[in-house]
Amino acid sequence: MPVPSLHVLILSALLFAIGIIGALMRRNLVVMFLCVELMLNAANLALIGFSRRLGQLDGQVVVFFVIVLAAAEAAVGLALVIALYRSRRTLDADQLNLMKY
Amino acid sequence: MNELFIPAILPEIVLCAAGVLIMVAEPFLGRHGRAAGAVLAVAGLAGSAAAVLLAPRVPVDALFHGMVTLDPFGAYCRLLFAAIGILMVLGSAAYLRREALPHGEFYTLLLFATAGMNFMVTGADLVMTFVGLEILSIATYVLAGFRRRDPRSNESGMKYFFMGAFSSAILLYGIALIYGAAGSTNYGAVLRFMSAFTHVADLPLLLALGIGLVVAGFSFKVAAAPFHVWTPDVYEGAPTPVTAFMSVGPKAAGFAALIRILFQLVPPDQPVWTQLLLVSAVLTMLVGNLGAIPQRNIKRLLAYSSIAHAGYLLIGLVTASVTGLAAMLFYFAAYLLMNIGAFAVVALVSGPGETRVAIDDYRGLGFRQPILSFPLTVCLVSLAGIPATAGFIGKFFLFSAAMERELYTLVIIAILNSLVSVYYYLRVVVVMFMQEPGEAASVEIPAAAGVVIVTCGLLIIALGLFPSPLLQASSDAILSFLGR
Repeated sequence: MPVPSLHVLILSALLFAIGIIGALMRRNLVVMFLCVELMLNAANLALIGFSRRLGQLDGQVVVFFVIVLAAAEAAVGLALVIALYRSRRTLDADQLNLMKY
Repeated sequence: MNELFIPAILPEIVLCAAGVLIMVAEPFLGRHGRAAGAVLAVAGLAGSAAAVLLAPRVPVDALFHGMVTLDPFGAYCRLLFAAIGILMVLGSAAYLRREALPHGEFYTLLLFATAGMNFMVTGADLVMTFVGLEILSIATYVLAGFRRRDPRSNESGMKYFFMGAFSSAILLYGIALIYGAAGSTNYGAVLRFMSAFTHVADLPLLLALGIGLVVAGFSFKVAAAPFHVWTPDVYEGAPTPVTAFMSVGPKAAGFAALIRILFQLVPPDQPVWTQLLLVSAVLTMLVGNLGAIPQRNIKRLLAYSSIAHAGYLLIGLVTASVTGLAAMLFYFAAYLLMNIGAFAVVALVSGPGETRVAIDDYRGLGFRQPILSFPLTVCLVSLAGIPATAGFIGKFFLFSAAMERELYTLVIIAILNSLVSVYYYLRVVVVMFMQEPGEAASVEIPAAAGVVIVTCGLLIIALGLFPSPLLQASSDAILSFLGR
């Protein structure tokens, strides 16, 4: 029996919520970044679910664009993480407090 | 017209080609590379402006299979972005040399970011707008962390990256929900779908939620409250020319994309968002202006000022009228001159390693360095909205558009905020002219940066005295799609 589209959408909403909560609650930069990726992929899943429910391919094409953008974003993000780790020797978000008035 | 009508995207092609060319050419040019890179970058930006001017003036809704539009609104914004780029290249060359930063990469990223902003304002499909936003954002993340051995710049880049990626994800989820409800991501198709509902309350929940998430995603980009918290830290830590760019480019592009989404994708007679934007406008103005008062670091002060200006610009969106939106477009131009001019002075005064960024470092700059102090005064006075400057005209039309809509409380709050802002802007002027000179009073002024600073100052006064040509252009740009 095929999976109903509604289940796909509920899963996507759950993943998105987990991503938001993780991005806001966790303090390790790499884990926070993973949570943002989770949010992006939840959106991808929603696009695919809707695409199937609507019986058209547009949503799936959008997903390809998003995958490319997410890859570029990940490359830049991890480079920034490395540069930060080299100068600060920490990946704890709470330690990023050089700038306060 | 042919579906694949190249002139519609020629400006972006020119920008990307120039960017790639700079990257490829730089290693072969040796010590001439710096100047050649700057010349190529200016040529690319000027070429994109020329391509915009030469493109047909007739508005076309959807080219490239519904992906981009060709209309005066897009043309106006793209010309502004080209102007931002040219001022940025001229203003930052000396800074890059002083800080020993790579020139080629800087110009390339700037051109790519400009291409991204262009796609944000010409996109006729949510996917196109999103791709443009990401091109802009990814280039700007790198620029914010450009001084990669400086912990402050690392931190700024990381924070900007994280907030940017987070907001992009929210925006993308909003796009997915809109797609699910309307069955398309195309502005025209969504508009047709939404026009079938006569009442806001009848809108499918998914669609309302989707539009809400998209607006929230853009609110991050333009630093509107309650999504503004990243701004002061990111602006303070980024290299000063990059801060200048971030405060004008992405902000103008974000607002322009919001205008397009809220007026081309949502039927104009269903202002679902007005109440939310009204609250956000009031909050943004208050947070920006009250936050700026205790600041002692000039970059942080200008960061809060940039939040406050997002609040003033939101008033234009709240009015949802031709006057209000045209005033927004005028304000983009005024704001880019004020901020690029002010930050160009900050970049020069800050000295090697950006050590002099406190307001006290501006002691005695006034009569020792008139080429820096007078334009900076003009920029700050214009940011405060004092008459005979471009900032005053912009605020005047924004507030009078709100008066036309009988939003009296909003106007009173906005005027009170402007009065508060006079205090912290003029404090810098007082320090410059009324205190004994410090060491910053002896900075050298490179020719190109001097030209940018003086040009910004003069244009602010010129626009303040003769605003009508630009006002005419901006209302034409708005009428091109609101009138249809």
